[in-house]
Amino acid sequence: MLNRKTAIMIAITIATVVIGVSVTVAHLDYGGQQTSSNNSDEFASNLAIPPIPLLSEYDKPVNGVDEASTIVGYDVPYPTYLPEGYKIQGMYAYDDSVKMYAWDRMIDGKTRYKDFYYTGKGMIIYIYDISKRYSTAADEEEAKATGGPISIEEQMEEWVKEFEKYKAHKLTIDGYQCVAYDSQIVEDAIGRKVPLLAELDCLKDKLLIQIRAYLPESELIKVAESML
Amino acid sequence: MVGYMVSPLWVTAVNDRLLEIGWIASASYTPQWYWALDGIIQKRWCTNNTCPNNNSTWLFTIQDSDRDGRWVLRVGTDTITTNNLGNSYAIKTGAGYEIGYYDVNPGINDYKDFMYYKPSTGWVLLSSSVASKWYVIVPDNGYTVDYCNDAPFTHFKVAKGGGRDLC
Repeated sequence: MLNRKTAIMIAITIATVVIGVSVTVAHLDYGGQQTSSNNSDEFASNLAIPPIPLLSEYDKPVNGVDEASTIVGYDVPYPTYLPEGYKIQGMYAYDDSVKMYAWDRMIDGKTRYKDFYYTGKGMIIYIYDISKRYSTAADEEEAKATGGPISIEEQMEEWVKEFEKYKAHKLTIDGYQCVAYDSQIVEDAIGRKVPLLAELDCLKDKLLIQIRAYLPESELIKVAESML
Repeated sequence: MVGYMVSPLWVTAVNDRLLEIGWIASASYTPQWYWALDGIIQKRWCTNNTCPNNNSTWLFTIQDSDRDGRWVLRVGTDTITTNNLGNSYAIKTGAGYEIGYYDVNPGINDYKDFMYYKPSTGWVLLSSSVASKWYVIVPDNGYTVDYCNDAPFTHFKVAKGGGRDLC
């Protein structure tokens, strides 16, 4: 027979284990991996991000894809799929590029960079005309002098090598070349664990389409599929 | 062109990629300089054993003068060229303006001085305290040098015409 004191100790031990397991399970998704939302919330404070607003004074809002296309001089692809609850909350055209913010809430002047990308899991879709990378021959000569220019295909190879540590890989979506890596927790140069946004870069003719968000890579691919 | 960024110590590219040079606050106020991409520290300099000696100067710049999206960062004597991250909004970032760190009391948990450099006038002292939570400097030439203590990181920005609330 156990004495009363031993029985109490065993009961406390069992209760501690049960509570511990319950707390752990609460932080796991069905696949047994930590969910990205928990991870990014936990580790976002380790990021070295200035408390800057998402929108800058340079961002020129446009009323829609037609106006954006007129400004940049090409047909701007528009996503017909977005993650559940997300809408295009802002579209901005600058020179030869367009960016769109997709989110499940409104963006205003008080929305901070960190709140959008990390706490809020906001998505940026950036479209860039690579044929206008260098506006003049002099620019191109200057770039050559500093090691460039390189073709976009070479650039994609570079990305795969550069981001090998993030498991970057090539893929083809509807016949177009892409490079992607998934959102993940990485360790920075001072040993802090920080969230890394998933990124998908696709080349469609003269356009580079870049999608970034702290969401599963599969969601970025679905968005790209709806644009290509 | 509204605003004109000059040797910014953080810069947001058109595609929202964020580059920054800043320092990590510490209990001893010994700055540990770093550069970061999208908030992720890529490299740091100046640990307790390698901080600048008395009267030494460290300079910091971020430039993409040819607008190829490859940014050149200089921290002290170290130069780093990034992969193609995206262009800045500015047509050209100006050259020659740099933030300097001038440690008048190395190893002492006290004031550190900062300077900026203008080729035509030389060094301009920006006396400051890293213990300050908020500090804005408006040099006579209209450039604003600003940093904010957003512990544990401290962030810089140099700009012209962009308004004072840079933090």
